[in-house]
Amino acid sequence: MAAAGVTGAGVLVAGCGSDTGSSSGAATSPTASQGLMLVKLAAGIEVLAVNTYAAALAAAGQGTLGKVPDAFATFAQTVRKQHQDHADAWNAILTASGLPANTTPNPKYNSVVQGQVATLRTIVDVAKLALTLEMVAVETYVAVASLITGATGRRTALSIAPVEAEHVAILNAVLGTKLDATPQKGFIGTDMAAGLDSLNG
Amino acid sequence: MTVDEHSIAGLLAESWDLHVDGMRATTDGLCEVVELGLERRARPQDERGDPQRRRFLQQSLLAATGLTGLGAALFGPSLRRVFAAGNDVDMVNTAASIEVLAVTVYKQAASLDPNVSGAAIPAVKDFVVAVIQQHSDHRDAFNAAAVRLGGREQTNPNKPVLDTVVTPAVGKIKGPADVVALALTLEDAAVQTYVSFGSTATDAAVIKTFASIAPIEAEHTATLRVIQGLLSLGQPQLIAVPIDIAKLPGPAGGIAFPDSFYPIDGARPASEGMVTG
Repeated sequence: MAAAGVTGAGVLVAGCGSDTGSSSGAATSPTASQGLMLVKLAAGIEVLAVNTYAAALAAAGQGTLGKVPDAFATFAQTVRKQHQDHADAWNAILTASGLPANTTPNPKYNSVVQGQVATLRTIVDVAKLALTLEMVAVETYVAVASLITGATGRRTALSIAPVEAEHVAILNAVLGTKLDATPQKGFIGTDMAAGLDSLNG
Repeated sequence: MTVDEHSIAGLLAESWDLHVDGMRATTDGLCEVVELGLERRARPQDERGDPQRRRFLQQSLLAATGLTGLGAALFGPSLRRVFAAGNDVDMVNTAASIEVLAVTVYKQAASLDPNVSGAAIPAVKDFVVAVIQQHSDHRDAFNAAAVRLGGREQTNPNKPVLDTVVTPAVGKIKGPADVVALALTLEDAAVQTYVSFGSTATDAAVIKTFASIAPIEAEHTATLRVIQGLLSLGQPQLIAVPIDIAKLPGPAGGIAFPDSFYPIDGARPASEGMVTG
């Protein structure tokens, strides 16, 4: 799947004096630089997810997590690869725009993860941490989707969010949270969405 | 899945050149077009819902503004975007029709003998109860969006899917695996459709609605794939919440999400569930 179209090149004209500033109405285009910052934000979240699952797998290999079921190892390996694919897609947009790829994990959330990685002792611990990151990711994509007017670029966000949600579903099943008891209650919100300020740590 | 970076770079460069030329040309003219579109959107649905009328007006406006050739190519998309307000209504109508169908199918499944529907398994029963509520809420959200945009609610199930997928499948249900397969087909179609629609919708709130609902349907697909996998292995006793991951075979850890990016090749057409008449 081609993952392009978020850059300033894809930004079209904003409202001609008719923008009420509400959430309804025609989608408002970010500036070119804001659009690329959103892409950088997304890439950084994916890099953090890759690193976190890698750390969990390393801990499993070292015996820190006790006996790790094969299915959980498969889950972590599969999800890590998918997050890498997501990061690659966002970074392809950055590099196509002449910017460097973002290989830095999101600073704000990375500090949260680093504080917890050393305390991981069971796969339940891993699942709880992973669930938080997956929810940040899916909510961030919901938040940015309406900010991107380029169809292809928006589709990148929209096509990744459901995959993060699939990860969420399995993590909730592992943790024992039934479908009707999840916080999202049938709609993905944006309370946990990462903002551009998180790029500063 | 790979990304063709060279193609992306070329497309972006071409897009940027067109954008700069267009912006340098006539911003005022574009604002006039937007105003016309807003005025059109304010008219009743039956005056603006006709596709032929929509195309006639689009062509007339292009001719009236003297936009031909490059101008038409540059501002055609803008004009299409103005008239796309009607397309947004079609899309939320179609989405609502999918939700109506989903509620119908799950309720129909719930009415079957529990050993046939899978409801004899507590986790499956709980799942069905929860998704019926969620799909009902989704239907209401899409219909609220339609009304806000000046359209009408869609209260009928998606007829093409009902006729070509659901009805034939229902007639062949023999056990839980058949029910799960049908549910998965519907949920997967919903995700693909909402990703597709969200990619081209023009109203910000509509985009956000698709964005917030598609992942929920994907949570359903993930759950159904796990159930399907365990049923196929003859391990229905493992279908539970919390799931005992220690008892699952290794490959089960990855069956819930086969793709890194949710595909859209199975998305339903935008006009399929539009309200007519």
